[in-house]
Amino acid sequence: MWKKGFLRQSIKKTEEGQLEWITGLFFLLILGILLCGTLQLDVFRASAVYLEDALAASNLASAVIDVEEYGISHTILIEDPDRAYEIYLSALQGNLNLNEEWECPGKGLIGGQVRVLDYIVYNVHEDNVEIYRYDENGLLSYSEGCLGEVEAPNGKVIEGTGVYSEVTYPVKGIMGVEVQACKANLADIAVDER
Amino acid sequence: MLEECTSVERMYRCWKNVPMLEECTGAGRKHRCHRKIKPEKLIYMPYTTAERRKENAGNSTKNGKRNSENCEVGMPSGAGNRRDSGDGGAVRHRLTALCSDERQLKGIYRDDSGSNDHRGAEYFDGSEAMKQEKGSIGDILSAGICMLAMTVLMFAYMDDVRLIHRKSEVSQIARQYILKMETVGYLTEEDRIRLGRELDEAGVTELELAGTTMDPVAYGDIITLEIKGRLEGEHDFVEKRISTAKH
Repeated sequence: MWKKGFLRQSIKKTEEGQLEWITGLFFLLILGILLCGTLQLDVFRASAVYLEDALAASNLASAVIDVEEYGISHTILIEDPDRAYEIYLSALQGNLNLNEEWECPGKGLIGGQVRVLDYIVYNVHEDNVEIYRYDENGLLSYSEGCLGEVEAPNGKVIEGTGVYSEVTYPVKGIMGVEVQACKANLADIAVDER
Repeated sequence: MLEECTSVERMYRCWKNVPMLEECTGAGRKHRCHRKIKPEKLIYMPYTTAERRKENAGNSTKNGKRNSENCEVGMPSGAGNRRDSGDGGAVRHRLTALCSDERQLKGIYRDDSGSNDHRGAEYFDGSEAMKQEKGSIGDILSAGICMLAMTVLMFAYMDDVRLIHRKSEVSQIARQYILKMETVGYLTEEDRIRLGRELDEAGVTELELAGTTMDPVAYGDIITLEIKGRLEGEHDFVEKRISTAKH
């Protein structure tokens, strides 16, 4: 009788202690998961901003206009799309701090190889739009369109000379989950009248 | 009653539903009433173990009162009343009469035998109550450890987030200055000083601008801004911006 009672009390006490520990660890786990998720979101956000900045900067770097043509006709044209593409690749590699394999050495924000999916130069001359498109393999294709009708792949209507580019890169998430992210940017070239 | 914060006192107060002593409920102490032990199983007596042994040895078959005490032995919940006397009438008498002066209570005994003769009852030293005290410490310990772990987790998170924000801040500064460089063609001395000051405010130490275009270049040529440094004195970083001169 005494032993049974004692045992029952002991078991109950152990259960109570375990319950407190389980509750505490449960909250700890929830908090941990919550913070991990929030941190991951912060990292994704930071990587997105980083990529957008680098993409915009690279587009602007490649947009070297023909100064002579501008002086003569006040028309903004990217004189050499091939050179623009070269500058773009070089600038993108530098701005994203990529190595020869186009990978980020630290793999902190960018989890693997960065690939340029599209690089397009839009030269607007009067109502005509010249489109120089470089695909993923760097092959050039040329086409023309009318001003106001030509749209960039992201859906924006082309209103002036500009450069569009699109890159894809892997982002590593929680527990090694890899997500392929994609970023695109259209840089319009405008003249500062001041 | 003993009126000291002892396990016996606490058990007694639990039975009688008497509020705990202040010293039992003070800061850092938490003595709760766990009514897990049935009161019927417990008897309390106005003498200690040694006295009881003496009682059992010398006066085991005698009935009646203890002359040296002002009270008889008693039971808190009238459990003794429910028990049939049988051959233990004297014992029954002893059990049904409550202690007139409870201040003389010195010990609590436990008897699971079910008989009326409680001479074989074990001295209850409040071990259950002591275990409850350990449980209380365990509660505090588990809660404390969990709170500590949560705090550590929160601090680690805040540290990481702060670092990400610092890096973003540095990136924005670099972006701002590469645009300035585009319009001039290089990083001017004035801009270099201002850049150093802004990065210093952002928490960058050991700043190096090696690799940055410091001399004017021609229109369309590549310009570079390369910032190397250490964030918050711990994390090395390289911020590189490449563009073309458009001056």
